Amino acid sequence: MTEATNVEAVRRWLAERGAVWTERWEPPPRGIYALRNMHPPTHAEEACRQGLPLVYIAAVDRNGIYYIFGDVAWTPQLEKICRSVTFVVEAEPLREGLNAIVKFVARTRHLPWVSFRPEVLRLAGICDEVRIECEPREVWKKMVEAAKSKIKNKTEAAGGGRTAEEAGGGSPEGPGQDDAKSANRLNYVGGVGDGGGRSADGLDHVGGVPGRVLHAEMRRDSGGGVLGGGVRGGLDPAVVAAVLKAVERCLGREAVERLTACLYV
Amino acid sequence: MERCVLFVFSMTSVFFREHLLGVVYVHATRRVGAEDCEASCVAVRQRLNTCGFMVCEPDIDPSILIHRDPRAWEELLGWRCIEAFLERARGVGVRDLPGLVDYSFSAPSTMWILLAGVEFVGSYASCWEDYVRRRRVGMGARTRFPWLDVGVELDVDIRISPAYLLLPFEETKRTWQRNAPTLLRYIPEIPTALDPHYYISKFFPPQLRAFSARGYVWVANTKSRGRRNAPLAEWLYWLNTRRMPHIDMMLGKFEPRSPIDMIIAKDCGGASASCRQNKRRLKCLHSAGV
Repeated sequence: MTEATNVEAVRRWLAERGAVWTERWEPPPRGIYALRNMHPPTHAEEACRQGLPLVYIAAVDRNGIYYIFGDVAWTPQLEKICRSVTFVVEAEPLREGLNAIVKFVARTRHLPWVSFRPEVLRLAGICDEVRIECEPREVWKKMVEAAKSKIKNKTEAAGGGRTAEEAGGGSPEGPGQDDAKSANRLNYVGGVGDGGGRSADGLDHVGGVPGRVLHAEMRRDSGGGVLGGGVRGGLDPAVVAAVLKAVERCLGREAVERLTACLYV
Repeated sequence: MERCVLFVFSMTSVFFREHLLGVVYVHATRRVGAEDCEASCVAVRQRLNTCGFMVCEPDIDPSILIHRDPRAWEELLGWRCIEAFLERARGVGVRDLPGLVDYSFSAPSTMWILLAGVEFVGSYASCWEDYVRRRRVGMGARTRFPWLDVGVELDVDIRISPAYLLLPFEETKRTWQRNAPTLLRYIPEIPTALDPHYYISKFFPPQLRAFSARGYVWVANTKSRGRRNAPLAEWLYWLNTRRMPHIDMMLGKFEPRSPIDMIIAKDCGGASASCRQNKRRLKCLHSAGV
């Protein structure tokens, strides 16, 4: 928040909200910075030379912890060239107080939720309001990919002449005879703990190096090679549930019903 | 002053002492005078850090914050700590102990913020101070699993205990990358502030998860690059039960998954835990007859 007009905007907003606040023309106190990737101090130098102050909002909870909202992490090197103004606001109760400030900053700075620290979002209750915004992107990507591949497997199994066994279940001979090209090897590896004769090959994608085969001098309790647990064909209900949940959130209830009908007809 | 001290100590019930001590002090100050009561507060410093503030004397390390068992909180933290924690968590909508346990379990990396200001005393104080003030948590496994020779080498690289979820992922990403690359291959971004158990159980490699059927002791004694896989065993136990194994061991609640785990129930049930990674082997860990 580097523009002088923002000082007035913050003042107005705080007054409208009826918040308990003080305006201090000084750097922010030590605390937890609420934004994830703040601008380096060098970015502020130009604005500071023009005489614009750096604006901070410091929400303080009843335990004296400060949650700092600002564009630039304050450093001593800025002291010589920058003026700064800190609005110290009482965040009481913490969740409601933080929630209002996070929303104000997000709106005025056009910031997406991912710009904020997950801990601050959680404390502010944003994750309860828009949970999907707090969910890790990579995790969601993986969930979608997993669901896609499952659906693809099922489609192939249904229409492409492959049986469900071929598509996802592992060979009846057991993992020892199963080929490395098996698409769903994870499934039969799921039975390792049951004590059957297991091939170490099934675990090659566990370690840190992709494709490296595990060296497992495992004691073979029985030599049968009978498959253990795991999903054999079909879709993993957990994945389906996750996808349906996401679809409902993004596309609405009707889309869920249509997708469910399509999947289970 | 005597009246003040006597008044304070007459509250023999722990419950009343914890709940009303602040009020008692205010009344005593009005009746007897501030100076006298300052002195009386010195006398009760075992219970209070400064006049009117409760201190917390935990009998467990901070990993209890991801241990979803309110009874264990009561037993190992005590109501003085719980009240202090609740006092600070009320601002985020937590009302009672189950709520606090749930909040902590679902947002472990926010707890250092919420607990700032709590005073810790006792043998575990340094662990809590490290966590709350310096944001430091031991990386290694807390549980001392019995030593056995299972002769199995796994290509698994997980040297981080679930207790590390107490720290924000963004600040510890490099540690995770270096010390738990296997986990990060499946879960590139550990959501330490939003239901980590939910997401980690969803994406934890199923082939590793299946090892728990062989027993946690078995998993802990498999090796990866010469190290025992005790952290992996801890992850499996935590994912399966939502509780930390070393805490369950302390309370005699350890849930075995195979006969090999029974040696914990028999021999190591009372093993205490330390907040730092302890490489010392206990006698009970050389369990014969297995």
